[in-house]
Amino acid sequence: MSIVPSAIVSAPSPWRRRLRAERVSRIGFAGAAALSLVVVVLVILFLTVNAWPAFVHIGIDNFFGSATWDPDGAVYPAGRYGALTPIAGSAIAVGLALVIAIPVGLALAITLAETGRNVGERVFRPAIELFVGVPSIVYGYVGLVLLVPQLEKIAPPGTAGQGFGAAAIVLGVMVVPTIATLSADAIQSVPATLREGSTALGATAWQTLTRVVFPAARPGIISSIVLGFARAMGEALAVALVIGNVARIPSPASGLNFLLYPTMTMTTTITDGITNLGANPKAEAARYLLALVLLLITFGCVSAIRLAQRRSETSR
Amino acid sequence: MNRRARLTNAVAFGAVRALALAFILLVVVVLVFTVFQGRTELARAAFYTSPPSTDRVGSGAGPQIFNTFYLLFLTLILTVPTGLAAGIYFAEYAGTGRVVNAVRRATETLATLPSIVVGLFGYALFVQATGSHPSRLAAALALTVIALPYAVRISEDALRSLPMTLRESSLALGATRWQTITRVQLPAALPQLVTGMILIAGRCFGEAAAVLFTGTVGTPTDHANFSLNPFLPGDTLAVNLYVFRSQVDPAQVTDAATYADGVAALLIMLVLVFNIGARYAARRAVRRLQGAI
Repeated sequence: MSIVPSAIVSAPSPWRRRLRAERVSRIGFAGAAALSLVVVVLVILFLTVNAWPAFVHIGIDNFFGSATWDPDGAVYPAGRYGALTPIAGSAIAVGLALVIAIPVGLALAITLAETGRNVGERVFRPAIELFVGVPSIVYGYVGLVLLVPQLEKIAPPGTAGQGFGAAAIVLGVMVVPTIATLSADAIQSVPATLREGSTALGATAWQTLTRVVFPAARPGIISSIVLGFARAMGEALAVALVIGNVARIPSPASGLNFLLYPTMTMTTTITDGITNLGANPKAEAARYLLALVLLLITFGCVSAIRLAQRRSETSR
Repeated sequence: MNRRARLTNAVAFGAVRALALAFILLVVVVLVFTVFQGRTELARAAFYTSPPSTDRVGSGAGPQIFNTFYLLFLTLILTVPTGLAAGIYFAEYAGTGRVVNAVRRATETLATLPSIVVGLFGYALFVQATGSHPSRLAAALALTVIALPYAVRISEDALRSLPMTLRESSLALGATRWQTITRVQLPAALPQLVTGMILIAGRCFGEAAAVLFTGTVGTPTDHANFSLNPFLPGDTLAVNLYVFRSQVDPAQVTDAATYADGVAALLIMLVLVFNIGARYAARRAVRRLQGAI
């Protein structure tokens, strides 16, 4: 406000009214912006409060130190709340999904960014933006209707084709458009002079891409992969449809069947509790604690993206 | 050496393009399959009018279609003004201080937060802590938590992409900041804003996990009705797609899978309409503005 001459401040009504409007609108805008912070604080608060019984009655050591998840006492009458099974399930499902999504997503990004303006911008980009908009539950539905019956044919007897394999494919396909669009943006924002310099030195388009463009676009590509990871980690219902929801990680020794036995992730474990919220307070608290773990993973992802981008700024 | 490099170049780009094309084809096939699979349901008039049932044959998605759009309406009423105001703050006022940095970080966190976490949070805050039951309002508030960070980013980007000269000339003519924003910047950014908001809408109406926890905890399809009362529970197409493929017993409700096919097909068609609509709106607005200048 120091730039406003004092003559104006003391001037009569129209100016003063406008100045007041300036101040009020500024506060309003700032308040709306601060709302996000308020919501994040509320999320932390409410998840922690609701997860509190898990800290007290289950114990952090039992929660993170055991792999036996039996909240309703099917085998152990007192119930077991070992979160290692859902946590490992999430890690494996998302890891496998990224194994699919990173190469395909990057291939799409390259095609999008490096193919001629017309084809890339008119055909590929609208298609991929459409895919981003497809509701994730639809990907899960298609996985259940198209993919799972095919996997059932090679699955061990007594299982339905649901498991890590189906979940990884569904999550992978779901995450590809995210990685592709954001990586393409990063590749396109690499200055043309870098590309031209490389080409002028006699490098082929592939050499330019892998040795000049990719390193320059690395922060953006890493960000896109981290965001894809976060999306896959947080997806609940699409995974719930195709993973089978059995509280056991298949033995790695079972070979290909590792991908075909039903299992669970953190998000499907939370979803599973939807039918009896309030019926089993201990299990409910354990699910809130799982949500808190997911929140911490989200914080980690946001920090990782910031770090990648800050590195790139300082190196330039 | 040179020859080898050229060969690598050709092979690598060939492989990359083949992979990209294969993925696009795969998803197109999936989308076409989904619509094709639901064609008999989509052709049935009762599908659009009658309510769904979890214990007998003959479900329709009437109330869910209504509810999907009603929730979208409630969410956009809450999201658009708030997101726009926050976007204006980040684009026009925000500095680089600690507080602003924390707020930016919070917005990024919200944008990355899994929707199931938002759902559980929404259940804890809007349902449990307020001592009420699941309702459309609670679902709309949860959806707002999901949509808000996108609205903020879209508004900020739209305003930032305007040429600096636009703002400077308005200020030079003696307009206040408020006048510059409302009468110069926002109209100029309108095409981008409209496109962005339509895409947000497309994202909201496909969201299932958050609504599942806040809109319809318990027996999902008992409270299907066409009421405008925001305090009544209600579920959406996306929620029904999940419920009818996971919780409803196909032995009892023999058409549960067929019904889900119809819902999935309808969702895909709506996504298409939203995307084409967004593109069309953007193109029209751009043409109109260019014509005006």
